[in-house]
Parts: sequence; C-alpha cells; structure tokens
Amino acid sequence: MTSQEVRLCGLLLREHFGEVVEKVGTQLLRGEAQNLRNILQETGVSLDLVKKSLCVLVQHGTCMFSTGRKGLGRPSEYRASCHLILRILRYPRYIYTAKTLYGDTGELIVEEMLQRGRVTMSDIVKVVADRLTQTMEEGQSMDYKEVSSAFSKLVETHFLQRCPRAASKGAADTPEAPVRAEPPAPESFADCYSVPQVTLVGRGKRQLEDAEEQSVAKKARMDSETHGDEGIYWQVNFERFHLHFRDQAIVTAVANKLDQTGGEIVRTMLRMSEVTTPPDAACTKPLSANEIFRSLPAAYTVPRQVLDQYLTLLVDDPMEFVGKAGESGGGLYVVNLHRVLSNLARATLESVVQERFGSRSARIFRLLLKKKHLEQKQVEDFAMIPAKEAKDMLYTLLSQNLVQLQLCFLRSIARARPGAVLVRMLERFVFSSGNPQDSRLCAISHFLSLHRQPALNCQDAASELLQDRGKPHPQTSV
Amino acid sequence: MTRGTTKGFIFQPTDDSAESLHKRLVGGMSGRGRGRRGAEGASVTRGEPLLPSVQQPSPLFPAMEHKPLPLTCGEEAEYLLALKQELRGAMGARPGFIQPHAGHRSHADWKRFPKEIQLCVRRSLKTGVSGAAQRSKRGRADEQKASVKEKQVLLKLEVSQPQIRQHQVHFTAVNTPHSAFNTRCHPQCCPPLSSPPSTRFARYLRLRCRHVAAVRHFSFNHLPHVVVTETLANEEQRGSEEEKEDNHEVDEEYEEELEEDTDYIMSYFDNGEDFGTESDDDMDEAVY
Repeated sequence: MTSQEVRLCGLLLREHFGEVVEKVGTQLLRGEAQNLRNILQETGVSLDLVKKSLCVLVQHGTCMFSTGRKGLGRPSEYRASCHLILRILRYPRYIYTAKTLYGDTGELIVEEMLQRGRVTMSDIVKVVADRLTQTMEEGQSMDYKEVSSAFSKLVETHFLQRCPRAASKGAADTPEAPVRAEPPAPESFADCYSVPQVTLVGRGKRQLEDAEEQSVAKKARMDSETHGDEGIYWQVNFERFHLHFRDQAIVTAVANKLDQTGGEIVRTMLRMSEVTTPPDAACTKPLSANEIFRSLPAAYTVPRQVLDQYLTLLVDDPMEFVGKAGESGGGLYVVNLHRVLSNLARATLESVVQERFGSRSARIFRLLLKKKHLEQKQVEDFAMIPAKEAKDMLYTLLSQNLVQLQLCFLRSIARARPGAVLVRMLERFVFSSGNPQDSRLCAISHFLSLHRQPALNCQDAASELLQDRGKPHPQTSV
Repeated sequence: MTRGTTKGFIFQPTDDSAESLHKRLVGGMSGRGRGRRGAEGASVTRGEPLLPSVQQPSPLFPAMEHKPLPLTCGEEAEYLLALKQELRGAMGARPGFIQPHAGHRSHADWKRFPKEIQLCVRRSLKTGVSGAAQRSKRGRADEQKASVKEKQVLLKLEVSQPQIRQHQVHFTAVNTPHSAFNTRCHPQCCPPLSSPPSTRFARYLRLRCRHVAAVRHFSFNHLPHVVVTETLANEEQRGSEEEKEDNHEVDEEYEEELEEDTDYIMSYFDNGEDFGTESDDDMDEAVY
C-alpha cells in the first residue's frame, strides 16, 4: 500500500462517510490488524465515534474483523485494505452496468445496495418500489413483485450474494472451534445465491404531501412486518462485476480490431462459458464451432463458413484473443483470458508512450518491451533511428522513469569489455498486494495509472503478466 | 542512478546534463538557464533595461511537445459522471455519514458485529465507581447509592479540607475502574508497590495493602500522580480521608471483582471499551 493509495482512500472515505470515518479508516490502513484500544489511542477520537465508524466500515465491506489471534477471549481485530476502499471509485460503473443489463429496476437495486452496504431483501424491495413510484405518474405505483423478480434475476446471475454468516462469539469460545484468521468467504456459504421465500405483497408508496397522512404512514411503517427473511443480508458481489468488466473489455477490443460481428462471436463464446469457467482461469473451456454457430444471437447470424473465417482470423491475430484447442466438432476454440488482458495492458502502455513522447519513442519502447535488455548501440540499430536522436529519446524515457538503466560488467576470459551498458525495460503497473489473480483483474482498472513509483514490489507480477510464453512473436512492423 | 567510474561510459546522466538536455529539447526559450544566466547576469547592472532577448517573465511551465488527447465524452461518460455526483450527495444524507457531533441511531442488525462495537448495548458509564460497579451483577439502586455516596464523600472533603483541594483529582483518579477493589491482590499490582519512591504516603499504601481485607488495586500510572504532588503536611489528612472512604466503599465493592473461578480480577479482561469514558464532571483541576 503506497502512501498515495492511502491518501486516496482517505479522501474517498471522507467524501462518502465523513471525516471521522476517514481518520479511523486511515489508521486501519496504516498497520496490520488492530484492536479497538489501538485505534482509540492512535486516532484520539472518542469511543462512541470510533465504534460508529467501525460499524460503518464493516457494513460497507471495507473493513474485516476477526477474533483475536492470540487466543480465545481476546478482543476482535480489525483490518482494512486499500483495494477494498478503492472499489468505491467504481460504484458508478457498477450501477451503470446493472442499468444496461436489467433496466431501471436493476439499476436502483444496485444503487441502494451500494449506499446501504448490507440489506435484507424485503427492505431493498420496499425502498426501490417507493423510489420507482416517485418517478411514475400520478396514480401509478410499482408492484413489489416486479422488483422482487429483478432482484432474483440479479441473484441468479451472481451479481448479488448473501453476506456470510457473522462469526458469533459463542462459537469462538468453544475450544473445538479453530481460531480463524480470515473471515469466511461468502462463496463457502452453501446458500450463497439462493433467494429466500419471502411473502412480499404490496405496492410502492408515494411520498405523501399531507403532513398528517405522513405521520400516519410513518407509524404504519414503523411497526416491523416480518417477511420471513430476517437475518439474511445481501451484498453486491464485486468480483462478478469485475469479471463482467473483463469480458466487456475483451469484446470491445475485438470489435475495435475486427468488426462488430467478430465482437459478437467472442461475446457469445464468453457467455456460453460463463458458468463453467472459474474466475481465475487462464482460458475458457473449449467450445466447438458447431456450438458457437448454434448459439449466435439472431441479429448476428452469419453463414457457417464466415464464422470459420472469423475464428481463423481471431486465432491468427497477434493479440491472441482465441486459441485453437483441437479439431473435433468443427474445431475447438478457447478464449485466452489472461493473454488477452496482458496484451491489452501492453497496448495501452504503448499508446500512452506514443501520445506523450511521439511515435519514434514509442518504437523504442516497444522494442525494449520485446527484447527486455538492449545496449545503446543495439537500440539504435533495431529501431532504425539515428544515433543522436535515439540517445535523446532514450534519455527522455529514462528521465520519466519508463526505462531503467542498469550497469553490467561483462567479463569474458579473453578480454574484459570496457563497460557495457544495458538498458532494461521496467513496466510500470500498479498492483494491489494479493494473489496474482487479483492483480490481473486490477490491471484492467489500473493500467492507466503511471506514477512515479519504483516497481520493485510488483516486479514479479509485472513479469508474470508480460513475459513471453516461449512462443515466438512475429516481428511487428512499426 | 549509478554512476560508474569505468572508461568508455557512453551514457552519463547527471542532473546538470539532464536539465541542459531538456532545455535543448524544449527549445531553451525559458530564461531559467542557470548556466547561461549567471554569465550574463554579471554583465547586467542595476537600473539598466533588460536584455533584448528577455521580453517577458519566464513561463511557469516548459512548453509541451505533445498535447494530451481530449477527454472521453459521450452519453455514457456523462451518465457516469452524473451518477458519481448523485452518489456522493446521497451518501452524505445517509446515517452512515458520521458527523462529529451526531446522536446515536441504530441502523443495522447488531448481532452481525463484534460485541465491543455494538452500540445498542449501551452501558451507563457516568463515573468510575458506577462503571466499575456495573461489572458486578448488582441492581441499579446500588449503583446510584454508590455514586451518591461517593459524591457525598467528595463534597465533604471539599468543604472540610480546602487546603488539599488540589488533590481532589487524585481521589477520583484513584476511583477509576482500573483501581477497583478486589479480595486478592492482583499479582501485577504487588511488585510496583514494593519499590515505589520512599515517601511516607507510599509506605502508608503498602501498609494498607497488607492490613485491609479489601485491597485497593492501584494502576501504576496513577501512582506517580499521587506521589508527585503530595505534600508532607497533608499526608496524614489524606490518610484519614482515605480511611473514611475505604469504610464507605469496602462493603459495596468487596465481592465485586471476583467472579467465576478465575484468579484474575475482572479488569484483567477489560478490553478497553471503558477507556476514556469517565466523565470529567467531578474534576476541578487538570490531571497531571
């Protein structure tokens, strides 16, 4: 977690939750898991406000708590991490995605859930129905059933999930229960995506103008109606949205490179393998050309031969969108998820360099990306740029921290080279610390942030993402 | 940047050369060149007009070779922007937006949170004694009695002994939850008492530790406060005051700290939620 990330997280918390939560959140980000006393001492905020802030942070999924590490009976420990808070930046995108997929109802459901953090199904249905009723004409109101069905659809496609059961203190006290360092993941909960049987009958209520009626209505709402789903809380499944963004990025890239039909073919392939592909897979399951042909949407039906041509083009493309896995069933094809993402990231970097420094500097940059280590003289030769200009450009890239200079002494038995200078490429990505799967997903959202950071802590991730997999690249023309 | 001493170095980036190189690339029209300026500045004397090459103040930023691309516009981008602004505004109105002086509103299912931050289970933490008393399973009436009695004692002390007024704070400090009574001296509290600074009051404390059945458990950070501002003249009076207080509170607090089968007093399990909650109403002076 860099200091700029922590600062950004602090500002986000301040915008959305206030200064008190900002203080508490920043304190949590600074160190490892801390207990309540630590937080009190470090922040100097009063106890009640600290408690409230922690509640808000936990409610919105930005802070995790767990029983103390050192044994039973110890106070809970809290930890936060940057990538959880930086998700707040993408809330508008999540809402917009829900709008494109499920219309206004879906959009409002996701929006209200993001604002509230965790909420029961009955609550959200009522709130959304009321909101929709506001926008409708006089005399009309939204039925709860429609909202419930939209909610169920969101749950079916895994965009919403149940919150994992809260770890109760009673369970932690028994000596048999192991002390868990991490809270349970929502997927480990068996009923993660099952919608409870709730009886929600009614329609949305319009906000009443008359003050008297309003107080009566308020009283009616205050008495708690039980709908059979108390204690079942729902939250937004951010990872599913990220997968959706990933798919969207791939389809847009294909549409830009080939044409709309090619994009639709890849979208069909991705949709077919949605359910069978685990989130961190490197490529989808193999699909036969016959299956793809049958599943193409009606608006984009093409003759079979044309489909085969498209698939061949996609396989031969240097971006490696699609790979061929076999010949049965008219040809087995997979979408290379990780390779596409890394190529997309690389292409974005190259375009950034091109826009900032010119096309010849971009040529040098691309060369270094491919060859990894080059001497000054080799750069001039391969890039076909006169020596003086090549030197200037290289130096500009070096001063902007896009290229790194490394001194290397090459010793051979016969004679020692006076001093060869190797110019080494260092890619600048921002990754959050975590498993490599996470870092790849983050690359999509972060690949435009080039800041002046030594990439030492993420070098392995960068090399993993961008290294050649042994397959010789065709020499791309400039 | 590493700078080697080997011969045949092709690239020798130094800071000076960086700036001069950049100037050459940029066009060198910014009059900030230190190297050149110095030479010319020496020849320009005060009062003379500026050199013809310098017509205006140097620009703030060097000129850019490549202008940036325009921002992404379009329906989608504008909608996202509107959503973002709406979201920020809406979050400000929600109960999750904590104002520094907000009241308490419960907005969530409290069972899902660890016990220590549950706000619905609120304890009345008025003064130290009543807070300490809460931990024992006594009724409200007793708490009020204790707090009333303590107030009476303090009042008496204040009225009758004006010259030790500045030590009132130590009585209340001593009565914080950390200094609750217990039947057995906590192992942690004994060693410090054996090696305090040698004042008469400290010796008196040690004596009391052994004699009185309800041992007063002092937390160490209060001990220096008590000792430092002590004056010899008031020691005896304080001793008598303490005795008076002891008699009042011994009966009430006698059994409170020892629960279940543990050997440790309840404040050993204190998880810090009562930290800083004692009210400052009774303190006349600052705590040192």
